[in-house]
Amino acid sequence: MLKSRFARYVVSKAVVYSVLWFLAAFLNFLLPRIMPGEPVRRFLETLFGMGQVATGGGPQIIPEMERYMKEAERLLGLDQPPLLQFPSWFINFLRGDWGFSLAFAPDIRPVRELVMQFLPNTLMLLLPSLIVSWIVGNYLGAYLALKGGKIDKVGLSTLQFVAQIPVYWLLILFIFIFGVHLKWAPITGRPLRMIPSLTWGYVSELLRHMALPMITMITVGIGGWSIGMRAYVIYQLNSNYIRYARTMGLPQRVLGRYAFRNALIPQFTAFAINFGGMFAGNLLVEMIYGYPGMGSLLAMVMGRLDIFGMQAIFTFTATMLLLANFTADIIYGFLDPRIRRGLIEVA
Amino acid sequence: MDYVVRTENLKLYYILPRGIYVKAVDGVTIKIPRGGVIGLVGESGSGKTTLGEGILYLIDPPMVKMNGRIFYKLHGGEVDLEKTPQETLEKMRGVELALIPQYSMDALNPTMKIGAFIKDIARYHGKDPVEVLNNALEKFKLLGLPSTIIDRYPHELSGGMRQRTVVVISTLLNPKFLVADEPVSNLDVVQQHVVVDFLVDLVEKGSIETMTIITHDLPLILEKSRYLLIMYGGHIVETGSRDELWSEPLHPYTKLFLESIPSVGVRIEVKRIKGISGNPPDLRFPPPGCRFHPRCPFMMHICSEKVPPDIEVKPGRRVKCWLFTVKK
Amino acid sequence: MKPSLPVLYIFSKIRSLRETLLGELFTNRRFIVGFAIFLGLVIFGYVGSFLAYSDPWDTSYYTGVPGCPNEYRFLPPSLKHPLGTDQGCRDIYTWLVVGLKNSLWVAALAASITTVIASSLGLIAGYRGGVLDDIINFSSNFLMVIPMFIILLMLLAYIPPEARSSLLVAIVIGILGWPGPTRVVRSMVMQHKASDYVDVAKLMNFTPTEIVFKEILPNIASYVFLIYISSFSGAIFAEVGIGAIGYGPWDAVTLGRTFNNMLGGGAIFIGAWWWFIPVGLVVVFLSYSLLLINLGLQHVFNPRLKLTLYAV
Repeated sequence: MLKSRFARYVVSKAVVYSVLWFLAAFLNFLLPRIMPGEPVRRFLETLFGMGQVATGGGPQIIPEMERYMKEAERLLGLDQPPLLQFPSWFINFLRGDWGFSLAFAPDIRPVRELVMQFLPNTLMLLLPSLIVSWIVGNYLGAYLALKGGKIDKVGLSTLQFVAQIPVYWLLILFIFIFGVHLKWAPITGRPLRMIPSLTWGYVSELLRHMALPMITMITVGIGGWSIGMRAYVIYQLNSNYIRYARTMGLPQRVLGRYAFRNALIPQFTAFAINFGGMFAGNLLVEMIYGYPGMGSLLAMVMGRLDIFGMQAIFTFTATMLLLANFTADIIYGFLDPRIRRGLIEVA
Repeated sequence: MDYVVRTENLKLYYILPRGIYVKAVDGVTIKIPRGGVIGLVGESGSGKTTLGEGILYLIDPPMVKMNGRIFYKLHGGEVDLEKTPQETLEKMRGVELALIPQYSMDALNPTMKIGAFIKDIARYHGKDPVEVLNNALEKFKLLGLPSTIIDRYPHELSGGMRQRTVVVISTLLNPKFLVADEPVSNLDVVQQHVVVDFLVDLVEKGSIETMTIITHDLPLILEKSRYLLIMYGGHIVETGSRDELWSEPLHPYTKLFLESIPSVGVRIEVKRIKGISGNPPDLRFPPPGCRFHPRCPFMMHICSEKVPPDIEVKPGRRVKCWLFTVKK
Repeated sequence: MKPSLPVLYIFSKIRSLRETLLGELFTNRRFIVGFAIFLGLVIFGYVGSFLAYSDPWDTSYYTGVPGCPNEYRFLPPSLKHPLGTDQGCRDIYTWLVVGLKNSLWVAALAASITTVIASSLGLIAGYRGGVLDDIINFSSNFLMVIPMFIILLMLLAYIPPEARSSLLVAIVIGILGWPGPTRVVRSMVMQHKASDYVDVAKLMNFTPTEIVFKEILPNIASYVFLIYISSFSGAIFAEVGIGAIGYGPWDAVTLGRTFNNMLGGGAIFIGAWWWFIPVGLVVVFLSYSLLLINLGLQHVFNPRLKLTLYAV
């Protein structure tokens, strides 16, 4: 058996997450088929309708549409016996065969292509916001905890209030203040050049569009993280090891350093737990703002009840979230010496 | 008497929710003589840990100083610890005033290697980290700890190892005044001897000027100390040199306490149940007057009404008991 | 719902608990402020709805003109329309108060569902342990990795607007909220399970059900209440969140629907701050008041050592 405690930890986590992954995929597969309103049938009907309209109303179906319909049947697994439908869909998903979307009709685009196009934008928005708000939040929280007194009280109350402001409303507020009154950051969905390229034109457009949602998310993020970190730091500051360090004459700043470092551990766990929520917030912001990321893509796809789009995007999102959490668990296990160090020494 | 620490009517209470006070130290005026091993003895819940922390001015919430002053006698003059600026106090800690805490189990930073912690301490007292570390290694060896310990994290050590580590760290800077709160509680008998000998040795060699050991293990302290303070229910009920106390205990509690030790050679921890009937007082609602009166065989009416004064029988020899105010 | 014996017993215990703590509660500053704000909002919602005309969709009540002529769109605040009109000549104020009232109902229902589920599962997981505990833990893991919002989207996206009633949305939100609170209840139950009085009860041959209802439950009743409050707050956030993007309840006007209408009507572009600011503020103060209530309750129910060196 694996001797290293850490390796065992990794493996057990991997198993858990794999099971969760299957569950998520299965759920996504199942939903369109069991939800009221028969989304699957309606999608096929829409497809059929599109094929028909193209010929000017006649009962014929153009050969292209026929191809798409066959494709749809295959991907939905309708040509298979019931028990094999999920595995076939899942295998297709793993292979990257995610079907096509009618969201950009009359263009019919493969879902995977769309996702790959929109995903980088989301990541470019999400990751910097997360990192900045986490780092700033941590320091702010620790600062409040260490300062104490009036500053702490006032700071805490303010942050508590700010943390309650829903991200979607703050976004609207910011759009109003910064967009309408000050410099303009357009809202209407797609910036002029959607194809990602390294041209300065595209990049600068993207940056301009990123500013507002990023500010919103960072503000809300800092509110949340600082409150949590403050609590963790306070908890550390009340522990015996800090007491002892004080007894040995170590000054406040050293104590602060110790407490900060040890408070990061539960704070990191909190990060992992909240990652999903922050991602959801990101999606929401994108949807409202029209930023061309996964959120907007999802909105477009949902609006048209685009089966392939929805299934793929939801499953892909779930996969990303699970992966992120898994990574976080591993990193956490590595950071905490109690988990990393293999065996305990006995005197 | 040349003293190193003295208190004036010190009252240290713990403030609990809903306005309840735990009167751990309820009016204590003592002088801790300079030099040698001093014993602060009492049952669990007598307030001795609180007093120990108090005289080092380690008073943190929920502990509050309700009253009193604490003086530390440095070279020549007295220093009111309360009025000492924070930075000076920090510099004094570890070097002039040190503590081996009762909570030695979790006194060490779980995410820091032992060696790293020692180096930090050295650095912030302006000493060479490597030198101090080597010094520590020698001391670790004396206590039977491997030299690899400096690369370990606290959770990798057993309870006993941690306690011994803390003993070493607290004495590392050769503090003038050390308070050792139950320094051997988690150790087996053999290790107990080793550690006690180690500490006493440091005192005898002069590395530590005065060491106050707080314990409920009377036989241990009788052996090694030269002066004792007996604590009960938040009060110091008797003080005096070890020989005087042993040969002629004055306070009824001291008498009963000493009587509960079996006489020949075998060291057994003093248990409440064995020696004295009744229970130690709940410090939230201490009995009025003398704290010991409900259990005292010599109780008089006045004992249940008024707190007895500290009566100085001889210089350095005090009793807090009404019996000794009766003029013969 | 027929109150069974255990439930009645619980309520009586909660009441007696309240009696002793009531005095303390109302001297807690946070609680009072939060409670006052919340109460104010509730009253605002109800009284406002009553005073305004009941149909937010009616375009002609104030204008007296059928249909919706252009002059009556996007009107700024006036006496007739305290918050102006929207893109369809509808009164914004009406939307706000009716929306508030409906959102409160949705949240209340959702919070009740979550609390019941969380308490039950938490009790089972904490007290029984074993396989059930593992199953419950595992499922809660799933829901915590994939946030409620996304699952809400997944579910509600497939449901056409006609089928999306407030009731349905409330139930869905309620059901999805159980992981966090269940964990809390579970750990509390486990703590209590290990305590002395439970051992006494066991010795006295109480059945497990009796122990749970008579001994453990009254002790955690206060925490159940806290869970209700935080679920309520979360439900508001969820409902307005998905409502804003159009996947909230479609059969009635809720705050989410109001948001959606706002976005659809382009409130921001027109600079109609009288439209989106009050709506947003209502949501903010709703959440904030609930938070204050929560904090106040925590202070009273759980008086940790307040005077630690660095106060919480």
